[in-house]
Amino acid sequence: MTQWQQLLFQNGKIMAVFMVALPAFWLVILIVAPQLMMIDFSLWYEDNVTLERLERDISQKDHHLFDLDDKIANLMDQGLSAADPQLVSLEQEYQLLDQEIKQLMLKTDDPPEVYSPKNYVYLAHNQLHRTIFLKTIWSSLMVTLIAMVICYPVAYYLAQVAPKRQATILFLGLIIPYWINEILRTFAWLMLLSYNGFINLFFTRAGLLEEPIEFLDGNTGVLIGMTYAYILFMVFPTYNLLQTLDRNQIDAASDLGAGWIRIHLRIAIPHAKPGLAVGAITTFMLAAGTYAVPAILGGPHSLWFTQIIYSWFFDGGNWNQGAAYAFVLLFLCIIFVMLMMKIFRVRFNDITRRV
Amino acid sequence: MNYSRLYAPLMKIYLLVFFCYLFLPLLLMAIAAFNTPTIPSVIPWQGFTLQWFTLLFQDRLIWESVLNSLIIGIGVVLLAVPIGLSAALLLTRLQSRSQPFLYAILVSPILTPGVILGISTLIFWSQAGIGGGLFLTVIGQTTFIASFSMLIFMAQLQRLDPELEEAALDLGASHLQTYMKVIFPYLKPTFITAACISFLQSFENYNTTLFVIGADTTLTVKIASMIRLGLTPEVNALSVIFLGVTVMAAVIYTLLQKQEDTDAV
Amino acid sequence: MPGQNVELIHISHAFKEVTAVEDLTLTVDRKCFFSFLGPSGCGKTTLLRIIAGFIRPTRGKVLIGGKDMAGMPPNLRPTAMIFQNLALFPLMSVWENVAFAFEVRGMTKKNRRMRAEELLDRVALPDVADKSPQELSGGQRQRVAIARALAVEPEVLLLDEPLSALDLKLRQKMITELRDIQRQTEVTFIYITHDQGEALAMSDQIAVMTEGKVQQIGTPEEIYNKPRTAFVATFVGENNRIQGRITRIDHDRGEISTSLGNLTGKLGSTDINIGEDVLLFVRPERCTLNSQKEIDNSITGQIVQLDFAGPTRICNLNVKGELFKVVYPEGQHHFKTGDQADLSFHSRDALILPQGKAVHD
Ligand SMILES: Nc1ncnc2c1ncn2[C@@H]1O[C@H](COP(=O)(O)OP(=O)(O)OP(=O)(O)O)[C@@H](O)[C@H]1O
Ligand SMILES: [Mg+2]
Repeated sequence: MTQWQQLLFQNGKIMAVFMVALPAFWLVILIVAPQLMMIDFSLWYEDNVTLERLERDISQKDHHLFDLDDKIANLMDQGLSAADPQLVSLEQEYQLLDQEIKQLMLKTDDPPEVYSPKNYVYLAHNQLHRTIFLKTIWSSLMVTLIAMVICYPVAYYLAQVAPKRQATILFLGLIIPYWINEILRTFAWLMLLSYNGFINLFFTRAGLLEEPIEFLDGNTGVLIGMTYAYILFMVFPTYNLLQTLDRNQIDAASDLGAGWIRIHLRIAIPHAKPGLAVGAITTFMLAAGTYAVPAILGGPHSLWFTQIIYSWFFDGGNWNQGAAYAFVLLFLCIIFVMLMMKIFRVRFNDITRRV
Repeated sequence: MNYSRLYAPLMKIYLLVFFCYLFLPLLLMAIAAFNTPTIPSVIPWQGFTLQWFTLLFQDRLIWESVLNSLIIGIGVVLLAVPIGLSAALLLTRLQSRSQPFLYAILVSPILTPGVILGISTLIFWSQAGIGGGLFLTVIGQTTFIASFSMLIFMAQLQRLDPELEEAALDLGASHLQTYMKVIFPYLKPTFITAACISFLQSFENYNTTLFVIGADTTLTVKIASMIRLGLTPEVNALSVIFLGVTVMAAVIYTLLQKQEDTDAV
Repeated sequence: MPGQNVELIHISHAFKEVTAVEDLTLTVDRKCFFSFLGPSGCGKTTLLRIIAGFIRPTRGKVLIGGKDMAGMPPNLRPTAMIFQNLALFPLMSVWENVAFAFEVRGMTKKNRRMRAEELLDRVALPDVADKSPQELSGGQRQRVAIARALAVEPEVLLLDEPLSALDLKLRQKMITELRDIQRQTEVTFIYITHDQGEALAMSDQIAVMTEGKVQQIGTPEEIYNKPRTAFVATFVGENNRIQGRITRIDHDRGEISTSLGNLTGKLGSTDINIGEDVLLFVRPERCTLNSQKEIDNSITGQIVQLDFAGPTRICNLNVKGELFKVVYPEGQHHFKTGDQADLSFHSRDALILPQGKAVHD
């Protein structure tokens, strides 16, 4: 009995169809086909050189056609009959040319596609874009690391130290900001960090600052905002794992004379590994893929990779180039997931179970 | 022990700073909704007003975007919940070596940046002549929200005693009856959870939506564009509402959670 | 109308590499209380699930009431199963559980309720109809499960170690009750257990299984008194075992030479030949110590342990390095550990069987 017959036998026809058809739709139409199409898109470009040559050809022939038309009209005006051989041959020439133009027009409607890695090569050669890409990686890594360092003590305290009542209240304090829209969370920091924002006004009025600081000119604002926006994605997975750590293990370790640093290094952190891995993957993915935060908190000098992608689609109108950039970003995230699985020695299942 | 004497107060201070860090920005954002100047600010305080709320409620464009968000949210729930359920059933029941592979592909949208999902959806459907809009947004969001829904159902299905199902069959129920009378009732709370989470995910999604929404707008997209072009304290007024709803929801959630804990004991 | 109810014909089943049931053929009579007895992992549950229709056997046929069940799904078979963990529906009340079979047949709610209460009465469980299964005690839940299974009016009731989760007292009570319910309802019971006490107490027929194969089928008395293989002899009840080589055969008696000298016993199998290595089994309660009477087998050993077991005393005897167990009524002897004692048994109480896999190997 094959697995599929088994499925039918165990679930009946209707349910078996339900269980196969819907996931198949999802898998093929929503997940795999669009990704493949995106990769396909990234691998070709419209051959504009040929296109321009075609268009030049057409306009030349158009001129010619126009001239012919003139000629024919002139001859007609001179009173030549329609059956005059000169007029007939001109007429024939006209028809031929007209056909040719129509065919060329058809060709331009369906511009030639050239498969090549040109779109990727473009990114590699574009100094500015390359820098921005590297900056995106670097900043996302920083955000991930900072979030991990900040969150671990909080998660540990909540999971192991806090008395039950206090833990409930603190937990509430974590979900409220977590559930607030990412855009609003970022906006809150815009109010704090802008040139006339709270921080600048507060400190200049208090006399602690001579001049307001331009937080939003460079990358500082974006980094602060991203850390704030995604920090809670680190807290919850870490907390979930630390919660499953048996209190007795900690007691046993301290009973054996381990100091608290050693308890964390040898017991708590190893136990929390899958949670830390999930937190790192989610935070990195969100940071590298965010459009909102740099759009709100970034200045004109702090473009983000996602913003370049966006402009390829909606400003530049070059979807193929955009698709290539998008795939590079996706590839980066895949590499990061694999890296985390290696570093934290967790399997794919451990990760997805805790997202 | 001097360990706890040193550690405990330090930890208290740390937590205090951490929660201030979490809440102060949100608090300032909310307070600015009640200040008079047309640029959202807290300093200088120029007088209490509710005009931003009035303006907000009169803003037709905002209400349109809310309606769009609702329509998309419902569409996503209607797609993502059945898809998640069917995939969870398939993955828990399929005894095949390809199961882990299938599982990896079906959860991969969660680990994919939202912009990529938006882009690939946009490219794929434009080939069929379908451009950005509400429909495409539903499709794009469902791609990854269905993964969440699937994981929620899987967690519950793994706890389902397979013998219950066999008992029903053994007592003469057809497969369909077994699902209707035993398995789905067991999953009822899970349906609600999955629907709520799907809706919320859809409602606040930005990165995917941005690429597939076309000329339409959702509330989240609208807020973002208000912030970037034409910022007024209306946004703050809106954030006050968001905060209020979130706080209420979080409190209810926490209370329910506590109830469950005490029930379980 | 006695006759054959369930027939298993050359049933085999393998899960990937593991062969759980191997070429098994047997018949179960109508109205019979039939038990499968075997150690954990011997394929009992698999066999039961094949009969119920949850597993399609890799080979072989199941006939119920003469009809081939191939391709027949569990919901259409005239069987009902009591699961190892009972599998009561947690979201339904007790009566809804019992009435589930009526519900799927589309019976009206009023009738369902009535029939459910009748069934609950039958298993001596009035007044719990509206409770939820979680509110019941272990024994009550057991009875709900039985009532629920009886609702389909099955020809065959399949029970998968239903008593294993109960404590000793309750288990003994349920043993009698199950037996009573079976007599009353006249439904064929196929009962699975790894507990020989349960099997011996309840069954009309027992099939002893190991490693997917049936070792012996018979009444409890036959199984206990005339085991046909070394496995059955050691798995069912306690047995002393001595290894030896057969030296003489005289009708149904044989003599074997062992490290303890020559011993005689009944031949438990026809295909035992002179010169073969065999095993001799004798039950602890069939052995006597320091008997005055002339008994054909007698050996001397040293008492190494004496255990008090209420009405009886269990004595462990070391005979030239071999351990023997003897059970005698409390007060019959007054030994101390270290005493020498003569152990004797009649050759009619000893059984000679070919060497095979025994439980303790
Ligand atoms: N679904 C399965 N997949 C693979 N192997 C299985 C499966 N079910 C049972 N087995 C194997 O088949 C053999 C028989 O299992 P079965 O459950 O029938 O034993 P059992 O006699 O009921 O044991 P127990 O008394 O422990 O319930 C065992 O070795 C078991 O590991
Ligand atoms: Mg079993």
